[in-house]
Amino acid sequence: MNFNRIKAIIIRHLYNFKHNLDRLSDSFYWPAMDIILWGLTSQYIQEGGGEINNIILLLLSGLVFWQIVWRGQYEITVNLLEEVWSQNLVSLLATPLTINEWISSLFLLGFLK
Amino acid sequence: MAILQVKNLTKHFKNKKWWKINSQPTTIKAVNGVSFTVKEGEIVGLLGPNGAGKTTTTQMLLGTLTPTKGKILYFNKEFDQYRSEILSQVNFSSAYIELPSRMTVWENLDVYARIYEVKNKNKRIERFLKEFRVWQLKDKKMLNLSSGQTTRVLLAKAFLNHPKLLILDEPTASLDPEIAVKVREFLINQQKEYQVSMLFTSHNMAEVQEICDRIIFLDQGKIIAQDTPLGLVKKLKKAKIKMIITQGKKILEKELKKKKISFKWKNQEVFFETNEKIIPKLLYQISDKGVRYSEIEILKPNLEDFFLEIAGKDKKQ
Repeated sequence: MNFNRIKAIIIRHLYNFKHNLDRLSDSFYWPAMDIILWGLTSQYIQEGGGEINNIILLLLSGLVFWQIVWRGQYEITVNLLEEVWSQNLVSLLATPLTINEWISSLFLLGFLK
Repeated sequence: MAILQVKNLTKHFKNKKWWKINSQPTTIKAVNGVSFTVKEGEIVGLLGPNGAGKTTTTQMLLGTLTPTKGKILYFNKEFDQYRSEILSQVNFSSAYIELPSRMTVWENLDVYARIYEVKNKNKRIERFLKEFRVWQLKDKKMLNLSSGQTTRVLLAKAFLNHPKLLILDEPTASLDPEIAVKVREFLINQQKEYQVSMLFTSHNMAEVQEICDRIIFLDQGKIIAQDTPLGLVKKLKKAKIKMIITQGKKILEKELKKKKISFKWKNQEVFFETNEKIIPKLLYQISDKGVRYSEIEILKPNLEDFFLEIAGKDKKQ
């Protein structure tokens, strides 16, 4: 795995944010909504007290962490489609970039978001 | 030293309709046992009619398609095992690919320079954008460029990583003649100065004849001819003849029909094609029978004629 190539792919998508409001909102608006919604729900349950509430709280925390996994998968799918739409996939696959590096960079990008 | 060695490269596509359970899959042999080498500093043309297997071959060489059979070796190393190492020394450009349209020219080249880990990347990007006369477009988004400008940006991308081998798929398609000449000159200079090898596909026969050291002719997935441009042309024994007839039109027609040579008239001009060897004898015979001409032009066959001959055979089959 070559970190420079992973960084290059992350930069490629960060450049994309600069020019696309839709990609920008997709990266910040929905994760922010998730955090606010599940955060407030957790706080409400926590204030209620009780043992059952703790189980629900645990489930909600799991749900928030699941978002990280989901984000990683989402980034790979959407960005693969983006490369296909922009007819850039052949150019990318013909570079020294490996599939593992490409997936890692997108997963990292999803995690950052 | 061989930069690229291709041994018995084969790609078969199986086509089976999933709802026809008992049917046998039909196999399309896109590339069928192709073997060739590209030496250091050599420009090799890959030619052939549509569906000959050129694009499938280049895709396998770039690793975007997996061969059914055969071996690809770059710098004496197996492509399968040293993919990343090899592709860092190879690059390609095609008139049929694009770069992300919403990013600027500079951003796109910056990303590719980072992927190839180019040293002094900013200077190198600037050099090639200026070389291909697209420096003034560096801050423009790709979607705002014409197809000729996009082709030039892709050529700049192809030279970013000091490639030892360049795979160029119709690199001058959609370029205006002036820029196309500059690009050809640039490619030849790169070959001379840095010993860059190139595998070149194009439908512009004059261009191929001008820049290629050797030509590989593909048809129906097989190599049918492999020689220097001159060597291929010499394989054709026919020559085209144009004459302006001043006397004996009917006699000439009769003689040509007798020799089963088809001909075309345009006012006083007659055009026909025949074996090079019989031209002196034919001219003597028609002169002897009273045919007089004020002008004669004998056109030697070129690469385009060779291509048409192959394409013609293909259609007959």
